[in-house]
Amino acid sequence: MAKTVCNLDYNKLFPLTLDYDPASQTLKVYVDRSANPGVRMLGALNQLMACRPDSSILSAPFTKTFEKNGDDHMVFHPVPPEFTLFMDQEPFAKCISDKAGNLTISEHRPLNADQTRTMGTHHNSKTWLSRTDLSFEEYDDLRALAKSAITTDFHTHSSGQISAKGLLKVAEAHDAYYPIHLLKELGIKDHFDDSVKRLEPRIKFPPLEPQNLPDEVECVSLKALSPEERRTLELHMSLRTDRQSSYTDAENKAYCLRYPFTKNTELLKDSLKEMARECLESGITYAEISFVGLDNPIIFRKAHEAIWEMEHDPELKAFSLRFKHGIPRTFTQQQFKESLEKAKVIAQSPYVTGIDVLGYEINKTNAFTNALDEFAIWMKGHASGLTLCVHAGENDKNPENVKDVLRLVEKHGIYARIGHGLYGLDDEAIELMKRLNDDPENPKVHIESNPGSNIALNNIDHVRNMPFRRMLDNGIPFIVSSDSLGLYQLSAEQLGVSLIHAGFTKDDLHILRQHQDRLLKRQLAYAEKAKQGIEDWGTEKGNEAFISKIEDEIYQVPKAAPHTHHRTSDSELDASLAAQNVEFIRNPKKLPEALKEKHPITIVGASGSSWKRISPGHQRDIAIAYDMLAHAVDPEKTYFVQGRHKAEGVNDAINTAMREVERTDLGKFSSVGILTDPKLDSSTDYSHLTHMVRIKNQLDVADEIVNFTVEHGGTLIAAGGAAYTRDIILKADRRMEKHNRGTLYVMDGPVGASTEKARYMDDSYLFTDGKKLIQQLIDKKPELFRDEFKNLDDAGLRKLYNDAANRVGDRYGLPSTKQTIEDVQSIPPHERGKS
Amino acid sequence: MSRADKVKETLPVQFLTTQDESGCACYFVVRATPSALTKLRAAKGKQLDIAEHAEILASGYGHTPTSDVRKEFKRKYGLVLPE
Repeated sequence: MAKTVCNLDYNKLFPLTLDYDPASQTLKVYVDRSANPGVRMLGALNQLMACRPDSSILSAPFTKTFEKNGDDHMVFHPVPPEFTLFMDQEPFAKCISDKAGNLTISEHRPLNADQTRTMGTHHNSKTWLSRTDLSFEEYDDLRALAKSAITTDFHTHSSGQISAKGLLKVAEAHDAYYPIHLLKELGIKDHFDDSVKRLEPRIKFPPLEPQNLPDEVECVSLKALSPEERRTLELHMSLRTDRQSSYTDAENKAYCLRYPFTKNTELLKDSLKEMARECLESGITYAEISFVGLDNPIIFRKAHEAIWEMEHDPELKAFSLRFKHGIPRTFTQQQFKESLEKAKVIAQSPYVTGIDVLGYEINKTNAFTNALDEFAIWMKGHASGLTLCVHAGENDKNPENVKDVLRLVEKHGIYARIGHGLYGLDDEAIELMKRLNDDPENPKVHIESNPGSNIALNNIDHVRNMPFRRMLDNGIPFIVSSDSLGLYQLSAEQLGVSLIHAGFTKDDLHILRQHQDRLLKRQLAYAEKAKQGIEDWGTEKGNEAFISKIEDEIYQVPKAAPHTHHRTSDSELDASLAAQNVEFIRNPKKLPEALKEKHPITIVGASGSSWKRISPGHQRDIAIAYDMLAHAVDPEKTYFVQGRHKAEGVNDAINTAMREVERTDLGKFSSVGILTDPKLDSSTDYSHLTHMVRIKNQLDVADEIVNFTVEHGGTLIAAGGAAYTRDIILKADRRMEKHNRGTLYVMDGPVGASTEKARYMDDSYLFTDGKKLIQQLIDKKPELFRDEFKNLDDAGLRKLYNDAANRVGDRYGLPSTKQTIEDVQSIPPHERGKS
Repeated sequence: MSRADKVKETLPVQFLTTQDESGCACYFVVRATPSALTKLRAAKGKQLDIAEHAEILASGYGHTPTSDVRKEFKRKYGLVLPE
């Protein structure tokens, strides 16, 4: 037997060891587990991998078995010396063995991060990202073209572009120290000698930080970490590629772990250079990095020095780096104003191409369009080549966000780019885009598509669902970017492969290339023109004079008052809720008597705009399902948890059902609401609740809801919904499997998150109506039901359904008269009078 | 009652099971002329606007009417709608 390594993925995180024995014609395939691939990904791999005599799908596969001695592995038999490994229906690697069993591998098609992420997330590897419409030759031709199609990265971020490996390399070269408290979060114990520790200024991490943290924290030299500890840190500084994650996973985990290095100004220049090296290796020659903090004079200076040095470095001068001034979209009006004033100053730099309003898209674009309005007027008058970039349509929480930006662009005639535009490209948006881009040689607005990030962060489950075809068909200019090459573990080639999976043809790739090249030309020309307006630019004296001038001007911008987060204290919350007969649960791990020993049923899904998107018929289906549930389960054994405390959408459906149960003396349920805002609006009516739990951080809403349900071994039911619901389903699915606690049901039908996720889940998780939901739940947890429903037969289930349908009636309106006819049955007059 | 109304009342009542645009099951109780009925029958599997072809007496979601609707039809028209 001889062993040959064949990488499963572009990132070489999951190498396969192919152990071939020519004598017995046996091939064993082992997966390297040092990067800790998840169980689901390994299962999918076992399911998808096949071995055939050649690269024809028509050839019969060799027998596949599994051995469990030591590492689980696949065994194929009888395999001749020449064979092809397949992933599902696509050839993965062609292998030829010598007499000793050493393999030569050709035509290797490693998997990109989209593929490994979805493999490790979707049930039963339901969505293998393949192009079965192409012949193998056509696929390879397309792949060769896709490899070179993406040469720019217009949408990326300062803390995420460099790889974890590169970042650690730079940090080690600077003998950087790392906060011990962050290492502890990774399970790395503080075994370090005092001689390798020191206090360092704390790198602030605004999204998570509680108040009153010390200015200095204890840090340890990176050099003191063992190779295993270093590897652990490296792995966690990027998003895992064996599963989909959520925005908060990226923000609170990977980004948080990177900040001590990426926000360390001592490392900045070398980090940028290392990032440039990685980009060039990946085939990217131009990047625009969004940088929150570029208005910090020290960062501004270092960033410029880095570019100047790179421009004279033979190794790096082929790479062009530009910056966008990053402004978090959740800034207050005052913070926005200060940041935009500083943007006007730093935009004098030829290397600053514009601003980028970024961050988790949990608010509406029109929350800050007033501030942008004023800035756009300034742009028009003073810097017409600048670009206004706004992250919009990354998720489906606020469908108007893209159009709000487009309207602003139309009003002022400025250059703009929509970061993501995954959602919200409806007919009106397309028409606006067409109007704004009526000059194809000088388009005003581009869409920055980020397929790798969209899959990684669970904003979409398959690249085929991205609006590429819509953009291509309507001539909408778009470019493809990484959103953070290193953080998401992507490369230009991997992004190209994503486009193939999205259905791109050669012509489509050419069109993308045209959009990209045209935009690149414009941006480079803008910088050249800006340089000409700066005295002595390019000379040491001129550059220093420019930087000093900018520093002075930045310091002159008046500072906004620091934002004070008002958080209702626990005692205030206690009192306010008590006035409405709602009990505040201070510690969700210690439940009050009324809830102890009971089973939580958590209801999540559509509310607000996502509820309005659901058809009246499906709204009614949801209401019937929840009415059946409330009438069938026992209030003495169960209680309901409402994903949000708001009395609308799915919550309204369950609240109405609970009220009906109480009205008809069938019992009274306890009902727990989740307070997501730091501040309690005491004018809101909470009388539909009996208890309230608060979460620590608004961004953690999905984690906290899932944690509560899993911790108490509950059931989580999702119907419709938007981005939060997608994340709740993703996390519940993973956590329930990991802890073997809790049950998840996802409604397949209503527009929104639950139906999107249902497409990639096993049938045992799904329900289409109340009958299916109740049947599934009775089969699994009969003890939760009232006695009369514990052994429900078909007739009983039908009656429960009919009674619920009667109670719901036409609360959600009558159907439209436009219908697809299924059957026409006469009820002739002679029925008259029949009893 | 006009002659037209009398004719209308003598037209047989039809019970239609349908699907709306989001795939939800619906029902319609309608009265249709023989020619309209032919069109409705021929439209099986196709989408059309029922209101353009027949007089809608009742409609709702689900493939069976609620008990309230059934009771009303029995009382008002003496008709027993499918359960």
